[in-house]
Amino acid sequence: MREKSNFYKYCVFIAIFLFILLFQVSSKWGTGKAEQKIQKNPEIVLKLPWGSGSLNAGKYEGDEASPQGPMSFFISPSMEIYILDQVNRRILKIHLIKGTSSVIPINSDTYEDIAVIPDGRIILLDRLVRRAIVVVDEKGKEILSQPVEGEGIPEGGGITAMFLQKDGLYLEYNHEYSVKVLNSKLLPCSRKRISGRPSSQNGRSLLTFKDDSGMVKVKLLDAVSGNDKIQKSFSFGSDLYRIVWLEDDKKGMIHLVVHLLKEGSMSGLPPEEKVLALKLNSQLEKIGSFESPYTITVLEQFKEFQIMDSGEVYQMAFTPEGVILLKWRYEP
Amino acid sequence: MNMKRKTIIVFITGFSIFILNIISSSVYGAPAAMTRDEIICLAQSGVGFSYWWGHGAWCASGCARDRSCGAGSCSGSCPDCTHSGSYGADCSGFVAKVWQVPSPINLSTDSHPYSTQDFRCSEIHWTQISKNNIQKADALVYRSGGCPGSSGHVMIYESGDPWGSSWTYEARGCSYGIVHNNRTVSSEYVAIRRNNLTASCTPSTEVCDGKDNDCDNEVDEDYVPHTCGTGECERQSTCSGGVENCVPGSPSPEICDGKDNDCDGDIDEDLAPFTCGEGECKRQGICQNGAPNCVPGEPSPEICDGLDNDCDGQVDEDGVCNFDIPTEPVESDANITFPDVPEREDTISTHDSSTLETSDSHPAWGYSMEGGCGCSLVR
Repeated sequence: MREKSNFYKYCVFIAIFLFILLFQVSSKWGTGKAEQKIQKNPEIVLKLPWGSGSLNAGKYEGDEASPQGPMSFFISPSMEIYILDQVNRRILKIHLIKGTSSVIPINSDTYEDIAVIPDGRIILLDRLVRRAIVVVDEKGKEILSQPVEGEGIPEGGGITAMFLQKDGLYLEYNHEYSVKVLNSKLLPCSRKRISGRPSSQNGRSLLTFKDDSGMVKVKLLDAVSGNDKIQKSFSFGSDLYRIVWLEDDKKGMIHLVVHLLKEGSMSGLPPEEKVLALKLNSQLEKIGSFESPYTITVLEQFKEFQIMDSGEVYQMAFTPEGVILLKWRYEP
Repeated sequence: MNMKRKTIIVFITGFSIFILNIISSSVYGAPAAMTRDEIICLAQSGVGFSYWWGHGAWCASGCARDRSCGAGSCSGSCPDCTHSGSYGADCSGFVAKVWQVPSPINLSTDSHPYSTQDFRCSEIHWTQISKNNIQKADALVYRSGGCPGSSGHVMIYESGDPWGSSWTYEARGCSYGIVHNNRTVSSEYVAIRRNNLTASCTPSTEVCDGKDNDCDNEVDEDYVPHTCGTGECERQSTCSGGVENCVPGSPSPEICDGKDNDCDGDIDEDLAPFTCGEGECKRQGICQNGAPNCVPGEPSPEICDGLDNDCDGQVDEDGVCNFDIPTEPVESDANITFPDVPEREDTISTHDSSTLETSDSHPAWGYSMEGGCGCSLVR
């Protein structure tokens, strides 16, 4: 009789255990999910603890001011990683394959974006104070400064992204259109304006926005006329917090990244949030996706994602310990 | 603890909170009424001034920065930073001044009544709202580690952008100063709304309706008149007492003057035909570019053809049809000259008194005969 009773207890225990396990696996949202995902996907390619040492990244806590971490990053085709560590007034250059690193000093902590051309010259964007594109050499010496405000860009504070393309440098304004400000020789040029943001595919540009119904509309446009080539809407329900990124790769695949946020159902509970990336083909059909638990923190960032020519997706995220650079792969 | 005691404790706690709320509202009172546009106007005027930790003062010229006041400058890492100049603000000093809390104060008078801890952790002259309901002139605030927390930031929200980012006014930091920019806002920020906001005036084009559409406290002053009627009947509207009035002019018969006299939308149409010149020179006139245009034909010597060739109003006058061909050569004083033409046989016959025909025309027939027979041939 006693053995039977123990057996029943054992069964109940097993049933509860299985129920909890099932609940954890089926739950789409949850704080435990991040750790599970991180182990499988992504690959953490770089970790920089907070600080001011040679392999640290600086953060500013913002005592009665805006807190910020490294505002941007850039990965070259040869896998040199540039972290804009503007709080420490420097750029960290790390070569993953060679395992080397170096520091490039910069003269201001108000730069917010970075791009690097193949010959090693570095393009920096200061949209708020100098309101200029500044080009420096590999040692940080300033070569060129070009004002950003002018035709198409009424105020520097409205710049929302910087794109280095084969034909020059584009600045996106208010997530609506882009203006070419430097030509392929990094010289000032006539300010050609295109709808949306430039594409790696000749003759087209990319545009996305939240429409009146709360859906995310993605458009492939004719770069010259601005006319729609193809468009599609994506619904994320009421969880859509903001659009994070839109870029295409050399194969023409479009990468759309959104930040989803679900307010805590009970007061006092923190909201549950994540980043969702969709890979779309040239017909804007979804062919892959991944979820990242890393969303923006109070430490402001200007650029969070970069899509490589090959289609690899990199995310720069902040944790309590420091900066991490993640390489994501899509799941069908 | 039994159920009765629990109920009593819950009741006392709730009642205490209620009383405390009443006391706090009576202590703080309400800030002076402001519109959202007035708040944004003050925020705009601060852009360009320096970051000044623990302070709040700048000068405005309308909704813009008054450049006669030095912007000031900040260096170092706050709070251990160095400021020079008399104007500038940190984030909470900026928001308190823009919101004019706790009470109206001149922008150029330095004040710093609240910190981000007050904005995030208390509801003194403001109330926390859902971020989904945020509107122009509300604020976004965060405090590290919750309340009381250790550090924080607050900024004035202006609008969203197509991606869900935010346009804000903020005293961003020592190196930045006070800026207006499109930026991301993390979920850790909460939205707060100033108390005692009055209906905001959303500027639109001033029209004739007795209202202050463009929010400048004047009514119908920049009203742009429209027109009514067509052509010469077109008149401009007037605005009186918020009522628009427009009466078209009266049409008149169409004349050739480049105007739409009869107000039917067409110019110089339906005009009566007119001519100029006499006889064979008579031509039909046209109305061209608002002016009559008629050029008579060129007159030619009168010949016997029943027409007024020389356009003098007479037909075949001057005896052009009197053919008196002599049968014998007649000596006369007339000089008959012949051009150097080849010999040929010409036949001249008369059918009636007004017609002269030749059996052939010769290209060299350009001679004339004068006197003698009293006729002339002209080709």
